[in-house]
Amino acid sequence: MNTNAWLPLLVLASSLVPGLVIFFLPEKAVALRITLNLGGAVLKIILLVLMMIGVFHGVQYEFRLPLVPGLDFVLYADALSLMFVNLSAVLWLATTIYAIGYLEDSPNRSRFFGYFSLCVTTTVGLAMAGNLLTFLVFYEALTLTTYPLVVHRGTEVARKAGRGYLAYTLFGGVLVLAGTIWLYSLTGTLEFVDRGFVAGLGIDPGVLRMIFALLILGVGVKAALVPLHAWLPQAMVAPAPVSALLHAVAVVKAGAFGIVRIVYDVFGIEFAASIGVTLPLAILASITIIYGSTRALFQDDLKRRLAFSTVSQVSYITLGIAIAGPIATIGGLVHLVHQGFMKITLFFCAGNYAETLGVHKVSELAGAGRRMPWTTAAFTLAALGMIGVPPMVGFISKWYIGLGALEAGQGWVVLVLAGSSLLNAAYFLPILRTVWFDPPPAEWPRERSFGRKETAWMLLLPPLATVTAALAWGLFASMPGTPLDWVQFIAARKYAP
Amino acid sequence: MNILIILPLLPLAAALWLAFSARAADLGTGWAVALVAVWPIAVAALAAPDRMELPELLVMGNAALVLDAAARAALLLFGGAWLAAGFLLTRRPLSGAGGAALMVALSGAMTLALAEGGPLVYAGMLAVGYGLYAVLAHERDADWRRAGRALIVLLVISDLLVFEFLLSATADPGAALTTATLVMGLAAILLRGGVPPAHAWLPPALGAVSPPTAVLLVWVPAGAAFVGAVKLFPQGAPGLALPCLAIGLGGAGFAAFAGALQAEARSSLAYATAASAALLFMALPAGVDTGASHGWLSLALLSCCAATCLAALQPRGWQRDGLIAAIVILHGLAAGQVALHATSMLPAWAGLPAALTALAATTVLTLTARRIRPLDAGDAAAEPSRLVVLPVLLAAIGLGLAWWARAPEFASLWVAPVGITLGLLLARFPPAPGHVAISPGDLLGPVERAVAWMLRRLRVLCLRLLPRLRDRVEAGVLGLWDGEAWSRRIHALDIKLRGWVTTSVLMLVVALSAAYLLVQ
Repeated sequence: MNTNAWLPLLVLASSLVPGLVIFFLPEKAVALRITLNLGGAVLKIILLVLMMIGVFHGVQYEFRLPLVPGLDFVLYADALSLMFVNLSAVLWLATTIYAIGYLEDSPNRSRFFGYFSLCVTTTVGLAMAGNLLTFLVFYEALTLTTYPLVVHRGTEVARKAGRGYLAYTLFGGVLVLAGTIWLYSLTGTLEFVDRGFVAGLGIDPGVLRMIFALLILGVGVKAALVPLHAWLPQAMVAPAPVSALLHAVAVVKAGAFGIVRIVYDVFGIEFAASIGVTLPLAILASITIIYGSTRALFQDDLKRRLAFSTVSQVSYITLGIAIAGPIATIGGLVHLVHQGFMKITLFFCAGNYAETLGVHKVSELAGAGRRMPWTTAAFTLAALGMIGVPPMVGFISKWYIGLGALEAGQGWVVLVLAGSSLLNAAYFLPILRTVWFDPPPAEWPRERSFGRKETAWMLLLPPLATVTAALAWGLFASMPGTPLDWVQFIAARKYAP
Repeated sequence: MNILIILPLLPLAAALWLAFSARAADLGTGWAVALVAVWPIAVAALAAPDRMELPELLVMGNAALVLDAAARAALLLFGGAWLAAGFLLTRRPLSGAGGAALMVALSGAMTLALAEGGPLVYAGMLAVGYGLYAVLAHERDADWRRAGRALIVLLVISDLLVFEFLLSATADPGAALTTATLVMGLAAILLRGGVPPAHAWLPPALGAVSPPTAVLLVWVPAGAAFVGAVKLFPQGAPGLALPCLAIGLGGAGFAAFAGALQAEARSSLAYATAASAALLFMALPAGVDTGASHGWLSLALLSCCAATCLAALQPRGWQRDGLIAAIVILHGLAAGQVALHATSMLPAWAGLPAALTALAATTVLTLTARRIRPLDAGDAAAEPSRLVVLPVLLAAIGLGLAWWARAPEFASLWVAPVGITLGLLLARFPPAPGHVAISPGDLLGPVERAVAWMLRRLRVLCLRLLPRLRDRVEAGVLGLWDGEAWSRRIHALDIKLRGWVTTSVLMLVVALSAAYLLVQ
C-alpha cells in the first residue's frame, strides 16, 4: 500500500486520535486539550491541501479494506469529497476556537470536545466514503456521535430534543439501509462511480424509483427535507457551537452531500433524469425552500429562526442538483460551501449575543449593534448573503442555480428562488433594522463585561474570519482558487462527455 | 491605482472609520460626507474618459468601471446629493451607524454610476437602496416606520425583478431582450424609482424625516433607478414605448392632481418628485440616446426637485425668490426636453400626451415652490443660499448638456411657460388645512391593510396549524420507537381480533376459501 492510500486514513486519524485522547483528559488539562484540538484541526487542513493539489493533478487517493467478498470498506478522495472535507475541516477549526471561548467555564468539556472530534471524524469519513456501504457506516456513526452533543446540557428539554433527533435520524438510517440492501441485491455492487452504476443494467425503472425514494428520504432526514425536518429546530437547545456544527459542518451538510452522492455517483444525473426522479426531487426541494422560509418568518427565538432558515437554504443544494444541468450543479454544489460559511457566522453571532448580553430572542436584540458592532457587522453581512445580496457568496449560488434552471428550461425554479429571497429578506431585514437602529434597553438581560472589548476575542475572531471569507469569495468569485473555481472543476468532470 | 476604483472604495473606508473610530465625532459626520462627496464631482468634471476591467469581480467575468458621459451625469447627480446632505449634516450630526449607512449608500451609488456588467450594476443598485433605507431607519422620529416598511418591500421586490431580468438576459446572451424580460426590468425601475403607483411611501417619508434625509430621498431613489435602467438596457425598450407613455402620463397626471390637493409643502414636493419620476420613466424606452441625454435630463429634473426641498430652508429675500424662479424654469425646460426625447420612440400622435406629462410635472413643482413658506432671517433652521445654488447649478449643467446632445425644439420649449403659469394659477386655490381630499401616501393605507390581513393569516398558519400538524406527525414517528405504545397497539388489535365482528369475517373468509378449494 503506497502513501497515497494512507493519506485518507491519516485525514481521519487527525481528528479521531485527538478525540479519543481528549476523552481521557481531566477537566483541568485545558492547555493540552486545546493543543490537541487545534493541532488536529491544523494537521487535517495541511493534509487536505496536499490532497487537493494531488487530485487537481490527477492523483488517486484510495484506501480499501475487504470486509466480505464483493464488499469493501473504501475511503476515496475525489474533487467532490475533498470539497466537503475541506469545508468540514476549515469550519471545524473555526468552531473549535469558538467552542473553547464559549465553554470556558462549562463542565464536561473533555466529553464535549471528544465527541466534537469524533463527529468531525465521521463527517470526514462520510465525505470520503468510496461506496454506499462505507457511506452508511459513517452516516449512522454521525448520528451516534452527534447525539451526545445535542443533549450536552443535560436538561429535560435537551434530552427531549435528543430523543427526537435520534428517532428521526435513525429512521433515516433504516431507510438508507433498506435502499442499500435492495440496490446491492439487484446490482451486486455499491461502488460510487462518476456517472452512477445502475444505468444499463436492465433493472425495472419502477424498482429503481422506489430505491431512489428510499435512499433520498433516508438522507433527506439529515438534509431536513420537509416533512422530515422537525428535529432540526428542536435541536437548537444545544450550545451555539453544536448548532453551528449541526447546520454548517456536519449533520445537515452530510444529508445534502448524501443526496449529491446518490444522484451523481449511484444513479448518475442523466439516468436519474431519464427515469423521472429529478423533477419530484426538485419539487420537494422547492417546497422545503418556501416552507422553511415561511416558518422562519414568525420565529422570535433567534436560533430557531436560523434553524428554519437552514431548512430552507440547504434545499438550494438539492434543488441545484435536481435541476440536472452543469450550471445549476455548480450553483448547488458551491452553495454547500457558501451556506456553510454564512450560516456558521450567523450561529456564532447568535452565540455571542447569548453569551455576552444574555439575549436569545429577536425581540430583545434592539440596539445590540451599538454594544457589539463587530459581531453585528458580521451578522449583517452574513444575513445579506443569505438573502442573496451581492457581493456576498449567497448571490453567487443563487445566480448559478437560477441561470442553470433557465438553461435547463425550468423557469419555475427562478420563481421559487425569488419567493425564497423575498421571505429571507422579510425575516432577516427586520433583525438588521432593530440591532442597528432601535434604541438599546437600559439593561441587558445578562450582560458580561469584557473590558474595552465587546466580547472575548475567541468568540469574535471566528465569525469575523468566516464572514470575511464569505465576502471575499463572493466579491472575487471569478478568481482562481475560490470555491466556485473548485466546483467548476468538479462539474466539468461530472458532465465531461 | 486607477482613480475609478477609489470612488466606491473611499466611502467604504469612511464608513468603517465612522462606524468604529472613537474620534469620528471630533470631525463631524457632515464634513466627512461632504469631503468624500466632492470626489465624484471632481472626477466627473476633470477626469478624462477611462475604463478599468475587473474580470475577477463577481460572476460572468465582464465587470468593469467606465467613465463615460452617462457615468459623469450619474456622478454629478450622486455627488451633488451627498454634498448637499453633508453640508446639512454639519449642523445635524448623525451617529456612527447612520453615518456609515450614508457612506455605504454613497459607495453603492459610485459603483452604480461607473459599473458595466449586470451583476456589478445590480450590486450598486442594492447598496444604494439598502443604504438609503438604513439612513431612513436612523431617523429619530418614529413616523418614518410606515413609509420605511413600504419602501423596503418595494426595494426587495424590485431587486428580485432586476435579478430575474439579469438572469434572463444572461441565459440567452446573443439574442435581443424579449418583451417579458423588458417588462420585468421596467417594472423593477418603476418600483424603486417612486413612479406612481409605487410612490406611496414618499409623501409620508418626506413628512417625517430631517432635511438631509429629505434631500437624499428626493434626489437619490429615482436617480439610482434611472441610472440603473440606463445601465441595464441602454438601448431602451422601443416595443414598450406606448405602455410606458400610458404609465408616465397616468402617473404624472395623478401625482399632479394629488399634489395640488396637499396642504403641506413637503407632501406636495413628494408628489412633484413622483411626477418627475413618471416623466423620466416615460422616456426610458428611448434609451440613453447620443450624448447620454437621459442621464443629463435625469440630473436636471431631479436636481430641480432637490433644490425645491432645499429652498424650504432659505430665509426670505430676493436670493430665495430668484433661485426658486430659476428652479421652476429649469424644470420646465428640462421636462419639455424629456418629452421630446421620449417622442423619438413614439408615433407622431403621441407628442401631445408626452408634452402633457411634462406639463403636469412642471405644474406640480411650481405649485410646490409657491407653497413653501419662507423662513425669517433669524430662524435657527435657515440655511445659507449657497446650498440651493449647488443643485440649481447641477440642473443647469444637466439641461445644457442635454441641449448640447439634442437641440431644443418648440415642442420642448412651450412646456415651461405654460406649466409655470398653470402652477401659479393653481396656487391661488390652496386646500383647507386638515381637510386634504387625498391624504399623503394615498395608496399606502389600502395596501397596508391587505398585507396585514395576509400576514395575520400566514401567522396563524405558521404558529398554529403547521406546528399542530408537525406534532401529530412527530408523535407518530416517535411512537414507532415507543415499546409501550406498540404493546398497547398489539393489545388493542388482539382485542379487536377477538371481537365477534372480526371473528365472523374471518370465519366467512375461511368458509369461502374452503368452498373455492373444493370447487377447484
